[in-house]
Amino acid sequence: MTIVRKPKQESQVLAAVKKGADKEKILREMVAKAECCVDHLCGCR
Amino acid sequence: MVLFNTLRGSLSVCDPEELPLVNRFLSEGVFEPVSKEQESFLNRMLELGYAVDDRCDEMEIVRNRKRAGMCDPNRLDIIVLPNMNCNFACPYCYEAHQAGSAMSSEVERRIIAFFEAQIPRFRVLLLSWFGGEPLLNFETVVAVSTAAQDICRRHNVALVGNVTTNGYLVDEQRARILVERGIHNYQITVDGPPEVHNRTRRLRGGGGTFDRVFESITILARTDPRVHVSLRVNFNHQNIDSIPHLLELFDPIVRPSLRVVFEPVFGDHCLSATKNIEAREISDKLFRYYALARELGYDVTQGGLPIGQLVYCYAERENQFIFNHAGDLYKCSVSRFAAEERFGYLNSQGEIVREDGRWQAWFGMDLFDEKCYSCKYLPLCMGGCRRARVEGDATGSYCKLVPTNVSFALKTVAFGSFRELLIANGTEESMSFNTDADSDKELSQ
Repeated sequence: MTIVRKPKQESQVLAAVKKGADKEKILREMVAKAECCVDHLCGCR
Repeated sequence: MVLFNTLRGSLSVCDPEELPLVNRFLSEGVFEPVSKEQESFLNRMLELGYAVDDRCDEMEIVRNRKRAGMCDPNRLDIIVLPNMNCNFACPYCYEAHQAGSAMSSEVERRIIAFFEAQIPRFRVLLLSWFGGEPLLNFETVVAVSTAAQDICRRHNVALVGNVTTNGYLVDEQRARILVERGIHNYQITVDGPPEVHNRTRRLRGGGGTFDRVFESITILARTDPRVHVSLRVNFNHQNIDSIPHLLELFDPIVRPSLRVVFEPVFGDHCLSATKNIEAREISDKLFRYYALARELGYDVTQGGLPIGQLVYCYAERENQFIFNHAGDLYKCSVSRFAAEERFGYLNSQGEIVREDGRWQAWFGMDLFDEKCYSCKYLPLCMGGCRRARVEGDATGSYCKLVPTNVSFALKTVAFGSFRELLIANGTEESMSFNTDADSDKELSQ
């Protein structure tokens, strides 16, 4: 079996919404998880 | 065969000799290993998230994600509509424009007072300008953005500034002013090359807009390396085939600053993309056009598999607010923004006064509808459009997944081409796909 991508841990998934999370991490998550075009960071992924 | 787990994001390609075991594993639901080889296989499946221990409640994990996303304590999302007016008259626009509507200096003051009190509680402010056409009230955009920037600096809060504009009122001076206020992200729509764009993106008084909009995009992209322009094409049967021509028009130097976004014209009307083009045709073309855009040097982020989505849409966050020109509060930007539909308003101290009924209706409902719990795509979708759920409306992107402003991954689900997305994300040389119609069953979760 070739592993293309490993599973994400729950702590990674929730890292940006932890109280006082690192700003850079939050910003990266905002780009990666822009929900919709009104987020404008868009490209929605 | 490809295994993909929508909850954890693991993606694997099975070797041919593993197929009998994998098929058995997928079809039986409960897998009791009877040999060391099978035990090792099961451990691998557990490690990758394709198998779960009986004690693990995956639905509780999804519910916890949703709750965490809705209560995100770090991010304040504000969308400001300084007017409901527009200088364009695009035939597919869903908004009810109000000529002459504009934010007063009193409402500006209330928003700034709100910022003074709220921004220090957060780590990031996402300040988005929307309308109408926001740059018709350029002074308001500058005044409120300046204040937000100042408050963010004083409290060490990151500012992410965005404007959705038709691009007609951007010039070099204005571009510089906006960028200096921390507005580095723009969304501007171009519906095709000049002869196509000018059919839909027309001035209210008549006349095409392509040349000025094209120029504005180029100006913005050259103003500052931090600028990103989402170059949006609203497509339907009338213009989808003109996208490749449009992509050739921009100077290769500015292309890396332009993030292409192809969105179907949505709504229940004759211009709707999905009413006029077969889903698979849309999907095939989008895959090709995004690939072409990448080849031509544009910023293309589509095609990824976003894992760990916490909410379906920004409007599900408790710390997300839309303020219109009257200082009324809304949640969803696809709205008529009628006063009787507001969720609250800003009082003279810049505090939110909620309309409890609407607020309760929005946030009081269950995290997911019952049928969501049996959907393997739930961790990617996170429950569908809340407004549609509140209004009891099963159309739109809710559940039927009519692909409007949802992620590209969900569009591929709706267009029936999710497997192609997986292929694109895999290692091509190691993939060989089972093409039978039931192959969806192979997608684990």
